[in-house]
Amino acid sequence: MIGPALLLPLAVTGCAFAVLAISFGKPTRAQLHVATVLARLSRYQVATSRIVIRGSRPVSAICLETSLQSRARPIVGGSIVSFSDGSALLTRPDLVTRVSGAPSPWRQLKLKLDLAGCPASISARFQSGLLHHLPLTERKLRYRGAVVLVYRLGDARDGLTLVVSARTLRVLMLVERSNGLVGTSRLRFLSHLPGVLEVSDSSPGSRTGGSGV
Amino acid sequence: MSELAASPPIAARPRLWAWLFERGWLLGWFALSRAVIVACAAAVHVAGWPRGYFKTAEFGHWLGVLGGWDGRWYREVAAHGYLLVPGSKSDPAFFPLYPLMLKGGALLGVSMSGAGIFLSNVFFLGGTLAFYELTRQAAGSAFARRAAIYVLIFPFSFVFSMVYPTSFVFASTAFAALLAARRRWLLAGLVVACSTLARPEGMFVAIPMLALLRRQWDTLRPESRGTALGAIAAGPAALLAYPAFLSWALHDPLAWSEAQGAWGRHFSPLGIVGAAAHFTSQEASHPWLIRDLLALVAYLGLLAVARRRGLSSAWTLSGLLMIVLPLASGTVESVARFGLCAFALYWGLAELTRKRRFDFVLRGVSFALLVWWTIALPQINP
Repeated sequence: MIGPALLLPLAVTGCAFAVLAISFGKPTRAQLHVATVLARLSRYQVATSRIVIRGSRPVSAICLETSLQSRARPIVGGSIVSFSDGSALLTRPDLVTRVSGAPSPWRQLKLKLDLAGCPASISARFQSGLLHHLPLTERKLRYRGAVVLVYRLGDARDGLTLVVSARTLRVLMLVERSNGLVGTSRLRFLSHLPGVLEVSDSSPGSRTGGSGV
Repeated sequence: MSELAASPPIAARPRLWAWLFERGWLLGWFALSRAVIVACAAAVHVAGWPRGYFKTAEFGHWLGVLGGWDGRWYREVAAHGYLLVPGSKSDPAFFPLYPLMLKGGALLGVSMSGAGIFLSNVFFLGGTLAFYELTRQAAGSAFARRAAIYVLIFPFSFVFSMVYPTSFVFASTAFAALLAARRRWLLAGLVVACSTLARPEGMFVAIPMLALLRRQWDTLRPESRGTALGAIAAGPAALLAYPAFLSWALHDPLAWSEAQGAWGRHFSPLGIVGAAAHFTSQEASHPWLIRDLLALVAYLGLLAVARRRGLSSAWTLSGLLMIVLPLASGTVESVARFGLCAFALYWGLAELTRKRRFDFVLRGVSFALLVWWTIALPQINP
């Protein structure tokens, strides 16, 4: 009686594992590295960037990852992005709000936001599905005496380049490409959250959509 | 010899037709309920409304709505396999057997969405037939007929036609129980293993199977007892294969749990308390959670009815676990869907609708809700 009672579950586990391994295989080493690096991005609280948009003067931006609280909504993670041209944006998981600066079309706001390189929004944007689809290359370089890995996701017009330490996989720099334009971000890490910021829901906003399980 | 070998199919054919003819009413209800869902999906496609959270891809095909939400993730797994981005929404949150079936469909040249919708509906039809047989053996034809009709027109039964593994789990639960009742334990164990690889709640059929084994124990031979025990353990054994695979492929056996975290699901022993305590704040950002809360209350009520009227306590316990365990993730979100494979719910409904007039009214309400929720799919995650 004990024989079949033990053998059947063992056979099930073994066969199921074999079927899954043969059918789905493993992701590449570069994909696994980039997935880890993107996860680490979400630990960064501040990103400073220099944005070059063709036909206009370069602007610098600072993105602060924080927690936002408004009267009608629960506390959520979000970003405050301030640009040197005087404009500022506030982002929540499903909403982007212009805080200051001249009104501009949604596409332009989205472009500036993408190029600002906010760590949390990048790691949220590059979900596993996108990592499967985008072309990915890996290069090893020597930079200021240290070995760095350069991962290039996407193509020349749209995508992300991550420069990470080969030893610790710490993100040193990222270059965001959106619609052929470029934003280069240097990331800084703060160990403490700057607290919960209270925001007003009255500003005009653009919904960005969402999904769920 | 050859005559003997040839005779069974000839004899079986009229029996099969007679068997199907007897269940013509079930096929009719199946066709009607699925036609309503297809019509609703097509109407949403044509009207382009409501837009909700769906993007162009979901509106690009007349059945695209049925491939939305998690359907996208199942297709993703089928096409590319697994990859975890910790902290982000990732595909290890989705169990592997259903994507494997979609992959099989793609090998035959069928689109993954098309294969998913076709398979889900075939499994649902087979599952409802098996559910009817299971119920008929335990509670008689009239009761089984009412219960099966409620499965087909249940307000959330549109999920059974979506690119989701729910219909497969429903069918395999019914087949596993039928096979165990007929003492075909080895086959029952394999079906339970497949069910668990499609959704973790698939393994809860082990509880009614254990009750069946207790009844059969004295009449089984020792080796058959061992096979039966092994079949009951096949669900948990299959469940172990998934983290083992994730450990091999992603170097993280807990990738499933980590991926769930990105959707706000964190399993803990006090998760149920958290689901209750945080409901108001979660509801502020997901207003449709109220639907899941109402479904939870209704489901618990139906389980209580099923239990009070003396219907199998093993099935009630299995249904209760399907509904209550997901709450340990700290949210009531999608409880309405998770409960769809709890057979005792439909038995509770069949018990409540013994009076013809009440049955008639409840069928109307159920159909109306089914239409409503199918149309609302772009706005509300099932």
